Amino acid sequence: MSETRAADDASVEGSTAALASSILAVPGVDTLYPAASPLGQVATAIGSALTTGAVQQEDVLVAGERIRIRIGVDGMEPAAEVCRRVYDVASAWAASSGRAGAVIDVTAATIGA
Amino acid sequence: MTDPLLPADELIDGHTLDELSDYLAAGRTPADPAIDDSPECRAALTALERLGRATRDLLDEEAAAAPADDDWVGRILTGIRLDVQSGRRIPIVHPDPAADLALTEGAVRALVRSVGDGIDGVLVGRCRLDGDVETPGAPIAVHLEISVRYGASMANAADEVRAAVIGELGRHAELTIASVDVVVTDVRESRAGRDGR
Amino acid sequence: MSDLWDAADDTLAGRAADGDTVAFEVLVRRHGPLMRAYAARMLGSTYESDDVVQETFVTAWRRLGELQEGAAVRSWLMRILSRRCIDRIRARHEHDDVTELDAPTPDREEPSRVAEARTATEALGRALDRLPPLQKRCWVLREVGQYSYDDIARELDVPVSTVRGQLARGRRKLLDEMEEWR
Repeated sequence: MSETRAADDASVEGSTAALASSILAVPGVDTLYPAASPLGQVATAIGSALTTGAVQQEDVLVAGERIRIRIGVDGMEPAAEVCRRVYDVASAWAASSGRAGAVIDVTAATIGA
Repeated sequence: MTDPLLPADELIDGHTLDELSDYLAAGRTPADPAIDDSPECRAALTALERLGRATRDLLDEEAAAAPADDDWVGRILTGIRLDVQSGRRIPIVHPDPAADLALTEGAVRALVRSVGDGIDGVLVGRCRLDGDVETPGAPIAVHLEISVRYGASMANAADEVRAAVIGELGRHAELTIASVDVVVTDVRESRAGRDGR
Repeated sequence: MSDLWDAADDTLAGRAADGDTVAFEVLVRRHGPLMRAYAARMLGSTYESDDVVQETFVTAWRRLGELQEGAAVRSWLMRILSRRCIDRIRARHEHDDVTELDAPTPDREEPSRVAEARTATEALGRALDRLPPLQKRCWVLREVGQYSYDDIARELDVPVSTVRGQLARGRRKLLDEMEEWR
């Protein structure tokens, strides 16, 4: 499966940026944190590679069949509701970029802070 | 075994400076009349006390003369920010099996702090979520310590905090809150009354 | 929230342990200056003291969960700091100080040029600076760090009898110099 994705790498990279923007546009989201773990360890993507050369902190981590998103919510809207909206946006993105089955992991790390 | 190079300490009414220093460090207990009743010993104790205090004063003065500058503080804070503890994962239920949604325990604690701080005169201290927050529906007991400004009613403050916490947690998280327990652990004086502790 | 600046160490330590970086900043500003003064005396200069105190705070942030008694955060910080200072000193191979009990410390100023110390604390500061490093460290650990003789011995990795000896000499010198000043 990863072989057939190779040609799409460049467009996938471009579209994770698009996903990041659409997440930030969701009402109630005020921050998009680096999806890497807090200690700065970036999990390398399995399957379709997103990194070009040097590993960077991705805003959205797409690793194989898992999409990891870490947000801060503004506190005005209920946090759980905002997470669900982000899920909807990410799910639509996943379907449109050939990842219909991916698990979408959305964590709110700050609320109104 | 004593240090062979130690010079013979003169005796102050039969006691070495070392002994007197130990006596002082022990808070002059158990009381030793041989020392307490000797004017020379008492004078030496006073000198030792003064010297100890002067040392601490010296450092306090140096500290006061050089308050932390913003750059230096900024470097420390930058160093720690990446280490922010998030704690356990508090799940948000969703019918779709592909959805793995959660709040962090750290986010909820920060929420509780800001809600409590919002009550006039209140400052939240420690905050704990007891119970299995990682299992939806498990009963959770929230424990909070608060500091209240001198003059405010502690009972009222605690009640207001409790109500606000229940409200906000209900709004943002999907926790089953069994109880919210608020304990006042400190009373703050106004800044004018405090000696820079 | 300006109230945080008035908060007790206990409250601040609790919040910081729970992840509040603002509360931690208050602790840094409140205790940092004393820690720097202390580190400067332990290390013999201000050159490294800023770094060591920074490292101490970063370590402290990670280990706040271990602090049982929030009100004791200052002495807890001083312990971490003392340990780091001593590690630095060891790294410089200065533990040779142990055998050079009376290593002459170069006088910072020519005696004839020195203006009179105006205050007792100034006089003490100079007297302290003139102590050989090991005597000075034992003194500072004891009087400011509030370490016991055993703990000093353990930290510096020397026999307790040496600590006693060093403290006795340091104390004697300081008393004499303070007497002279008066």
